[in-house]
Amino acid sequence: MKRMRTAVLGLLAAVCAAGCGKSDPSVETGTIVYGRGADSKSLDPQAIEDGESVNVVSQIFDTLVAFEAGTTRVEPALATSWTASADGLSWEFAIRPGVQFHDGTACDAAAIAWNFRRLLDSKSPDRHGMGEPPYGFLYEGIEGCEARGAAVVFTLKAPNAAFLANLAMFPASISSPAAVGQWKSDYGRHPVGTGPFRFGSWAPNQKIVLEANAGHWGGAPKAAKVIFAVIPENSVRLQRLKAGELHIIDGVSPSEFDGVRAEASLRLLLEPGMNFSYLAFNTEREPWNRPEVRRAVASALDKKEIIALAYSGAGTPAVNPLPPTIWGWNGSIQDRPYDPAGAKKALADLGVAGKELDLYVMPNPRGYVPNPANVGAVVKQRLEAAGLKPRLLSPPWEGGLYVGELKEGKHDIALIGWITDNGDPDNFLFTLFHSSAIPDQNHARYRSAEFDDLVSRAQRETAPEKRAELYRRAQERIFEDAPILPLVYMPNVAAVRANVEGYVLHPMGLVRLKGVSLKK
Amino acid sequence: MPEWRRSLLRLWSSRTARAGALLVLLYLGAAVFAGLAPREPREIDQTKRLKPPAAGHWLGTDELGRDVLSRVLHGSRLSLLIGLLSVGAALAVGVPLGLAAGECGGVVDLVLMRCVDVLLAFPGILLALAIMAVLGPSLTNLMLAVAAVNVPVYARQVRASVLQVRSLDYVLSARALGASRLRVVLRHILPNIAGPIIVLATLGIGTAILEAAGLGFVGLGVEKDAPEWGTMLASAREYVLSHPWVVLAPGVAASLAILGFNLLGDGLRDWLDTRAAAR
Repeated sequence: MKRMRTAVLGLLAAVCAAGCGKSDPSVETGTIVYGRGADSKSLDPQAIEDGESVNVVSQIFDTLVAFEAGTTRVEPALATSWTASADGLSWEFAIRPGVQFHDGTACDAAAIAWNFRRLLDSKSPDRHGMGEPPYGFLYEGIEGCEARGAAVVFTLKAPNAAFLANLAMFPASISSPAAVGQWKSDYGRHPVGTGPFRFGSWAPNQKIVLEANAGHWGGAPKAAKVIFAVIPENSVRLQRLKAGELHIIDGVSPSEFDGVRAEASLRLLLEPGMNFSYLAFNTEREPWNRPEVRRAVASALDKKEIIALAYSGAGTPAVNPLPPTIWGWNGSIQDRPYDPAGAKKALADLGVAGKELDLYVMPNPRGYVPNPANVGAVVKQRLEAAGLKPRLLSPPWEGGLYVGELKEGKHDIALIGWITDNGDPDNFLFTLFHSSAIPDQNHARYRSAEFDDLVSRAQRETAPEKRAELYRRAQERIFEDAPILPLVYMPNVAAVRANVEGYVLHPMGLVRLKGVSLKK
Repeated sequence: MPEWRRSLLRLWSSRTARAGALLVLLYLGAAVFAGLAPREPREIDQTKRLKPPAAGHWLGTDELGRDVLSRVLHGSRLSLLIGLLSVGAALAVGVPLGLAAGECGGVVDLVLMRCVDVLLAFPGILLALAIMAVLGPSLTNLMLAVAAVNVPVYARQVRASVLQVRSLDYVLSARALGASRLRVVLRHILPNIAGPIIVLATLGIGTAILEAAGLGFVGLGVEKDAPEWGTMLASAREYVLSHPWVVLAPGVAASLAILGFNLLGDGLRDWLDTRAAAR
């Protein structure tokens, strides 16, 4: 009995010690704890596709070029400068001298070219059974990559405007060839890069620990250590942030925004993302084939009301089919004002008062719309006020049913949206509105020879300013023709402790912890 | 005092039946007078988001600023419609099937009852989900799905009752007097097995309301903005801790309505049993 009691007491003490130690990780000065919903799958940059893996990989690795803070423009990273040939087929990158991998080997032109051969060549022995990289398709346009002295030279199969942006993405991260050779198929658990943090340890489904790389070419990170902790439940994660056990969390539900805002010890970070939601008119159907009808519907809706009611106030009214975070965004277009009375009168004058219509709204949240049912309820209400008779339809999203019905053109008006893969305007304007994208992503079934010509020319143009001008004109066409009604730019969201400094959300959703520190 | 009044008094004296009847009456009243609700149930007002219960909005407002009381009242109308029509449809199909199986026996019985067995082998909600998935979500299809789930239940109960009474003396006498089969079934058997069917149907309305709310909750019910209890619960569930009235109102309404029908059904059963025993 006595022994039993001692054992229980001992256990209690141990639990208490462990618990107390855990409750305040910042006791170890300079440790940032990042709370997230799920564990990483692998830390081999070429083998991954999920955000939880990408977020950790972004701390350990560098790329040749990197996205500037706040935009999708690229800036030098492992490459200090670059030049393209006149035909846009050959690109030469000068490599930053003296950079070392975390294992002490040199990150030179040869090591970088080796990484791209592993990425591009499906027969490369260096893949060690990894299989085809999930994001390999971004790099299919690359014919070859070789080291030439201190430079790396890429040859492309055809001019590709998005080439640079793709080099800044995570699959193009540079790994240590020696480490890949050493760990082989287990490399994803022992990653070695050149980034601001080096890999420390990994307790699956609990945490990944990274340590500062003081010798980083861009200067030492401010924190000594970073821990990525897994807490699956959104509400539990928020509780632990409030308790001070975590410093940064993602996956905050819009319904919790007000609660975070009300807490003095926390800050809610909202930054414009790379997405937008919109209503697509079926422009092949009467009366939506008439631009003046579509424009009248546009002024029947109050985007600010939609944001207040269906986005918990987090979002910006969308004007263009391209968010302002993407270069080439046309900031000179002024949105049509909300004018319910004018809209009602215009629709009556156009002879569509009392028109019944099928309004498609997806049944579950998407990255660009947190509460589609509420968007549907608001839009329906306002269309009714404008004299139309909408009926809400919500076929299941799973199995491609919802998008399938849109592709068949069963909708009159449909709620849908887009999140870009690579931050290039082509990935919005061509993908969503070129006539060749019917019946794929062109849910409005929009056909305009003039628009097609603008975005096709932009694809072949390599001078960034000329491309941007073509895209600005393309956006004017869309605004004028109104085949869609852009609704909301949805922001990226994080909640942090008030003493966290230097954490900036990137529009691409990239997590960058190098400049983050804790105020005493 | 005439027999029927004494009988009704006995029903009223049962506490279960009385409580059930009161709840059902309350619910019927809500459904009938939903038109007098203070607000339009779909009226959105962004200045009144998630306001707690107060004068003007007796049960508060939801995340779109809609009046919860008005939505719950209109919801009772919808659920009553679903309950009555789907149970009616299930009766309309299930009772003739049960009568035919019980009366004809033989191959007819065998075939009908095996089909019923197959339908009963599916969990009800799964069957309803499958039907809704095939037909697509709409109010009519929702009622059809709920009715389809209940058809086998009625068919089986009716058949069992028919088998009980078909060899009783009064039925045999009617047959001996040369009554046609149809006449025997409609005039002599059906009235005498009506009791258990009424009990079952009363309990069935409660079940139908629950099933409809369940389908609404998983998003297969009515239109997304309809004031239907299950749909309301689904859209309000993330506010269960922060703004409980949005969830409590439709939840309590549905519970009370179902409880009412269950109590009334139980009371009716006791009453019918004692009546049978007295006879």
